[in-house]
Amino acid sequence: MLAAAALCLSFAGQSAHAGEVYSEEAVKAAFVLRFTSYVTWPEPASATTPFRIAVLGDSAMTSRLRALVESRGVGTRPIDVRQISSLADARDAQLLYIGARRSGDLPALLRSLGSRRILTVTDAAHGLEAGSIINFLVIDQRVRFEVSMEAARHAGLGISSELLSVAVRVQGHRAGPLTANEERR
Amino acid sequence: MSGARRETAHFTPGSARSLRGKLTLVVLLTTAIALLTMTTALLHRDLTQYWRSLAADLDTEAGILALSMAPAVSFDDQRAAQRNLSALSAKSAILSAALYTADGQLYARYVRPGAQPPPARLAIQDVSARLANGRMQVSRGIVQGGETLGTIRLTAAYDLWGHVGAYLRILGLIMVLSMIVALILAARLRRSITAPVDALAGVAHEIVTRGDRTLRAPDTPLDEFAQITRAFNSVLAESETNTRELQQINRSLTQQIEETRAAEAARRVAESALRQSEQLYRAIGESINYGVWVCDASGRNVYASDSLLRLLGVTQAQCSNLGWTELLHPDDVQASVASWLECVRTGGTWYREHRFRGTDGHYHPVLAQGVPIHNEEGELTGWAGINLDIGRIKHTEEALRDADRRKDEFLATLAHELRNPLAPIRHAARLLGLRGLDEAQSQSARDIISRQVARMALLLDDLLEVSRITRGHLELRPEPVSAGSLVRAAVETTRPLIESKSHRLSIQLPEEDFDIVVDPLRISQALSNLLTNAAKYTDPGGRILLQLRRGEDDVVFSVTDSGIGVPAAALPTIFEMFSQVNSAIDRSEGGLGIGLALVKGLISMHGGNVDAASEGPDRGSTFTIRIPGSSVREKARGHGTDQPQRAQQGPRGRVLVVDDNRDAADSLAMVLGKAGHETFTAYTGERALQIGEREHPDVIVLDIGMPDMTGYEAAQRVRRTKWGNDILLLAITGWGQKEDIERALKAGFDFHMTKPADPEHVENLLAEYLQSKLRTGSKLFEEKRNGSRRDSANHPHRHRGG
Repeated sequence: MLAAAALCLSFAGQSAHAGEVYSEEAVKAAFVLRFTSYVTWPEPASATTPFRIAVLGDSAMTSRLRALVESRGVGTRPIDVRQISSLADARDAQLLYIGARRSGDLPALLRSLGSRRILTVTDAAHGLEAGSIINFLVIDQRVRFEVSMEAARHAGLGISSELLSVAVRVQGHRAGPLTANEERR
Repeated sequence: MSGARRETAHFTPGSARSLRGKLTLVVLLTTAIALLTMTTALLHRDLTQYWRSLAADLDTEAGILALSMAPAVSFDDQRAAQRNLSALSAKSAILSAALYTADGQLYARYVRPGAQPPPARLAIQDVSARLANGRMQVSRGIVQGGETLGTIRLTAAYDLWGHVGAYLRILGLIMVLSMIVALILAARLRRSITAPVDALAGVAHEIVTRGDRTLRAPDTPLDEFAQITRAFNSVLAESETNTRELQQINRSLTQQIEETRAAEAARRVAESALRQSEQLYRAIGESINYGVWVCDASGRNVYASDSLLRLLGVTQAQCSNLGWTELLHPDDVQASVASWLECVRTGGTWYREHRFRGTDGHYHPVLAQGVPIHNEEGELTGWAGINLDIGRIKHTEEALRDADRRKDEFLATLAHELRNPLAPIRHAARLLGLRGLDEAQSQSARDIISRQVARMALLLDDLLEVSRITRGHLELRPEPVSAGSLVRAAVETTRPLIESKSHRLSIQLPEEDFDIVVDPLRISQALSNLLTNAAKYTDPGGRILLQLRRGEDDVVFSVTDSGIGVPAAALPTIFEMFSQVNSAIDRSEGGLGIGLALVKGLISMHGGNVDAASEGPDRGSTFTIRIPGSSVREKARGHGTDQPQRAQQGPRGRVLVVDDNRDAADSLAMVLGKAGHETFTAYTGERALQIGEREHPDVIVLDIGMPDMTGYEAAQRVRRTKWGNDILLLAITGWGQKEDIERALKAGFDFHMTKPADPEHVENLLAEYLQSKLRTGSKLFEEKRNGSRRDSANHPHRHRGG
């Protein structure tokens, strides 16, 4: 009950209706968009080129993301959300979301990406072990996430410490505070 | 300084009014104002700075927090948010911090122990600092990627009063220190400036209070004051010599003034005494009703009092010398002037009666009386005298003489009138004393006596009645009464006289009788007087007409006869007292000439009037009584109690007759005995009580004036006995005044009758009383007793005759 209320509050800013309960999927979609603020890509993004998001194996997520993007205010960088069926289609995307349905072949999929400058977000039980950079978890009925610094470095992406401060787990991090954070749990 | 110290009574060196005090005050005030101004400015600046720096600090803090909070809010990490806020515990100024989501819900908070927690919802979305309830609040938005995620709000203590208080404490300390320094400085300044002034003032005060002009002010180091002091001292020296001279002059002047004052006072006392005595004489002259006058040695008038001048209507100037003689009556002038000149020549007293013309134009008889005045050497200096207006005395004298003459006449008439009936009575009595008188003759003799006694009683009643009316002692007791019954009562009373002269009496009454509200006794008395008059002044065998009419707004009784009439000249005065028309013609009918006056008086008391009309001598006359219609009432009952039923054959009772006049007692007892009552007689009050004790009479007839005890006393004693408290008590006296009647009733009498009491009336009363006593144990009679007391008492003659 408390968790549902917290979710609701957290996303109140995006909805005119306070008190509306958001589903797990909706929260995940919002998180995906927000991750972009805390990750830096090596090549500077121009304001006009659209930021591309590719979604694999979760068409519902695609439509949710699109809805969120449309509701965003004017003056922000345009975002392009695409539903792909093979990784080949994700060539020029900056962010790749792989749905839970593709958990089975996740390690292979991620391996095939190599060191491409792409932020991978997954929703699988051992997402980080499979090689993704950010992986969704549900703890105490709340959507949380974990971050793999190792994978991020491999992809050449910079992750903001602020993001790490709110992550449930950070893998391969050099500094201590977040480990301490982990210990506190 | 020493000079100043000596005169603390006059002025206090430290007080605000002294020079020293003022100097100190100026120094202190200047210091205080400077310090206060400075403090105010500093405090203002400090407070502004305090507020600004606190606002800036808070704002910075809020900005940093907003930045570090963004991810926690972004990714809904409440723990992280709480952790961040908790770090604020290091900042003691911050009371509370709150993180609100974009829609204003509280997401995380931090509250310093003891501080007020932030509200659950963010109401005002402002980012600027604001002050509320001694706290400062700063809000900051959390923005990430162009998206407002929420608001952070910090609340810090803004301790304005603590701040100001600390400031004021410091200020107070500085003030006290400054004042002390200022006072020390002022004291030093004062010593150099005010000491010479104080010394000067002290010397001046000393001179004023002690008058010691030899004192001098001490020298001083200050140039300006040295000059002043020198000048002051020289002035003192000069004034010292001047004062001495002035004091001498003053002493001599004071002496002169004292002398003058004493003389003035003496003169005033003398003047006032003179004025008082003059006023006294004047007051005496004015207060007495006489004119007071003074003449000089040669007989010339020099003073006439205001009362005299007012009487004569002249001024003092007109009266002076011999001016007053011009006001004398022409017939008196010569003799009076001659008498006065003779008096002046001989220097004797003057006494003269003469007439002066007054302001009213009439001549007033005046008695002038003067005595010569001599001075200490015995020389004649003049006359002083009075003029007494004796007009009123003269008038009274004449009136008295007139009244005396009328009284004499009246007494003569009265004696004649009383003597008149006596002759027939004496004859009749002698007749009755003769033997061999037959029944008819003796009856006739008795009738004569009875008639003549009735006449005398009537005469005396009229006399008393008139006297009551003129003295205002007669009171009317109006009651509704049948007009017809009034006529009948009057006729009853006068019938014997009318029949004795063989007149023919006709009576005209309206078809329907009616009531009028009058005193029935008085009206029938007036009517019977008119009837008596008509009978008297009509030759035997004449006609008399008595009419009763109801006018439009009055009731009219008229009596017309065919008698000797009234001369026209006599008509206007016919209703006056003692006026009798041509009394010589019919002296035998007599009369005191008061009958008509009585009628007029009685009718006037009823608001009515009476007038007489006659066509001349021997042509008869008509007397008309009019009584206002307001007293008329429709007759409500049928035939009323016109005349009480006479108890011809009533019950017999036991009667005690008490009178010191044995004849009176015996004769009345005989009459009552003849009527069938058992009678007893007593000639003294004491005896009456004895007989009463023994015989228990039903009725006692008591005389009032008895030698051994008054009837009042006897009545009271009878009423106190067991046998006498409820018997019938009748008073029979010669005293018929209202007061006498009241006194009798008070003493316990039931009825009061004036002598001579009509035996028949006494008999009637007895009969009624005994009858009611038989029937109801005297209760019914009680009402009659109360209701008719006065009537029976005053007018026993009402039932006489017929």
